[in-house]
Amino acid sequence: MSSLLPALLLACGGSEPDDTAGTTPAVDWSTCTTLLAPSADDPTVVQTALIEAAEGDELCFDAGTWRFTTELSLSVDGVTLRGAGADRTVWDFSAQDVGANGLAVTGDGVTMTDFGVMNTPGDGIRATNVSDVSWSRMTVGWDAQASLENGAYGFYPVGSDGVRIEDSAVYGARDAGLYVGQSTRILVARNEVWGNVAGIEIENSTDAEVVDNHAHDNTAGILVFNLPGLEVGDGKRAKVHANRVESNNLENFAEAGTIVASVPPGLGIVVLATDGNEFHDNTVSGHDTAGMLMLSYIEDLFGSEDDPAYDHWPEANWAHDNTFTGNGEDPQGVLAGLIPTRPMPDLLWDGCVDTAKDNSGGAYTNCYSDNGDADFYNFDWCGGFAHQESDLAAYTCTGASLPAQDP
Amino acid sequence: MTLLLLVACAGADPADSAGTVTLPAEDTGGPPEHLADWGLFAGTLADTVPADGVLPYQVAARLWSDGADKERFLALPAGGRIALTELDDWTLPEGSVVVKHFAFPLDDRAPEGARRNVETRLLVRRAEAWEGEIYVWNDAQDDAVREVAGSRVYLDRMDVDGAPYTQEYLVPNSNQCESCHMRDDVMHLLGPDTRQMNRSVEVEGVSVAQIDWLAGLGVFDPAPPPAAELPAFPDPWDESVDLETRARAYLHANCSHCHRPGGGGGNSGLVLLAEETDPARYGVCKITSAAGAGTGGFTYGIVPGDPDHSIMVYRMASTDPEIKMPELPNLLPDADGLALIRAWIAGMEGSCE
Repeated sequence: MSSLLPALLLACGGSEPDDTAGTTPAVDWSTCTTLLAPSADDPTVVQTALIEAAEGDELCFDAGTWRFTTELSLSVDGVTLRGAGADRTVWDFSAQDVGANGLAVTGDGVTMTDFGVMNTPGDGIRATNVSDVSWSRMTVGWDAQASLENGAYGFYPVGSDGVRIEDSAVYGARDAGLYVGQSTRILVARNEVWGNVAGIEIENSTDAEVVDNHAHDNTAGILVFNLPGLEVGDGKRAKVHANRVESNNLENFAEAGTIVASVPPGLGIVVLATDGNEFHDNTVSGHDTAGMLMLSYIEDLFGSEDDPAYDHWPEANWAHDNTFTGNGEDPQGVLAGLIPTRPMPDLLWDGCVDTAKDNSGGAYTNCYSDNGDADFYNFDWCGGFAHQESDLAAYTCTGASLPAQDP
Repeated sequence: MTLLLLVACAGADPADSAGTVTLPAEDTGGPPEHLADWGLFAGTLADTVPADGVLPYQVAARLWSDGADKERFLALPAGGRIALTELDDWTLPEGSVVVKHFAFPLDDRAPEGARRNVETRLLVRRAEAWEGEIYVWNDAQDDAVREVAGSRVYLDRMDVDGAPYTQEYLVPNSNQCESCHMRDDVMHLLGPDTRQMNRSVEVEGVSVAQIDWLAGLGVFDPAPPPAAELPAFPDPWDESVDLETRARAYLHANCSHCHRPGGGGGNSGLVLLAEETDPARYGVCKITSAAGAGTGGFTYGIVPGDPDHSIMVYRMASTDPEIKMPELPNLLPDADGLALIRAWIAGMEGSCE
């Protein structure tokens, strides 16, 4: 194979020449099946390599800026794509005019590591309906800050089983920087996300672990959502812990009509209509509006829906041992007018419950325990705000302790 | 490469008239590099006259391809038969080849006149699966060479006023075959299905039902019912048919390869199969989840009576790669299709409140 452009295939089996006088670490390319270098025809060279790759191949991409005008796609199973480092091997899509993603992955068992994907007009890297996709030490970003021209999602696995996103960075996405949708068995660990509308969003997904991430200076830090009308619903059991969620007060620059466009700035963690999640040992600080918001699907806010299988209510979630500091000093959006207390309490709940369910045993109650001196407030949206309450006693309980994920 | 298409000229087997194809052996180093090597066409290659046994066919509701004129052909291996199903794509035997040829008229004032061939796509039925091959025509129009990575072709054309213009045309890469033809990890045919094939065609100057004609050639096993008893899509621009049926056929042909469960757009929950009966599933008052800028600031896929506030119309009209639908590979909106969908939505009753 690779007969098309042999001149661009560098010899494998050695190390990169140290052409920068020791200022950057040498990269070990010895495991590469193919090592490519940037050229005048990156779209053709790289797309050809992605098509002609065989299962198990490791395609390596040398340091430099690679320029693409079309979406790239990878459908071969078991391929690894590796660069020289997220800020050294940069795939630049500034001139892309075809395709809704930078890189679209449909092969199973694909690993991507140590390169950056920049300035895609649409989404950064999408993986659709795959098994076992892994990203590590990657960057997906947009140079323009809070721009309507930026793409919607950075990492965008959807409909997939076995998702790992680790030690990576996403900035500038005008929807969710790090998004996982309609997927199962998920690990999101040690990433830094900033300057996005949503830092991390786990949507309609089951069995996720979100751990040791740093979500800061987004509109909202970490979102765990269930939305109606999708192919996969009823997401549950996200274990969100040991994250640093800081100062997510960015103006909301999402396109109107998207769900996240209705999220007011200044929220740390938002839980929407999803069940059985556990939030613990997170540090949530410096949010203008509130530390943690628990919401049902409110049609007046998010649009009417007509999905007979959809459960509107967040149930059996458990937030414990989190630290909330310095939140709620300058609340934004509709919540500011609904809740008189200043600073805004840290733990907000809309008070909406499914009256068709028997909760006499408390199985559906959202529990809060050991969250320091964090205040609670039920603003009773569904009761017309008539029975707002701040006493946490009825909600001081424990829920299910969830396992770690190692997909 | 030797001639690959072997045509049986006689014999009691009626399906022999459908031609036979011999695929290159597994050890010949991959598919032929030149379209001519397949032996699908007789005479001058550029005229795409089907070789004996290569059957032309037409679909009821065509897929928009930036205005390209398309010709379609299928060839079966010796003794090979087609299994027809009512709603799914037909099952063709190993060794079958399905061909779609793309060309543009050089002068829009003479759409039936001289043309520029651009690409010829093949779906080849191997033992395990359908495989896509794309052949791109040269400027001299005497050769079409296999390409895998896609390319951009610049077409010199004349508009309806006789003014010259250049049209950019995208030849997809071979992965992008899958973006339409693959769902649940299996490659499917899109044109050869009963509703698309159940239309009239002209054979030797006589209008006949295409499926009846094919059945008469003996290509099916078992023999199907008469075409009149099988489901059919209308021509989306046949105004004798009700608007709803035409619009749904158009969406099926242009969108449902992705927008169905298991398809590339299945995750959206938007199902544009013609047989979907739940309006919420085909977009009426349906909210989005991951549309990003694709919403255009609007809330619902379709707002009854209000095409201007319907995301479906907004995305069909866009040329922005982040927003446009279909995502690939067109560069130009389908003005006729857009008008059809706008009219359909405008005529809907109800609201989303």
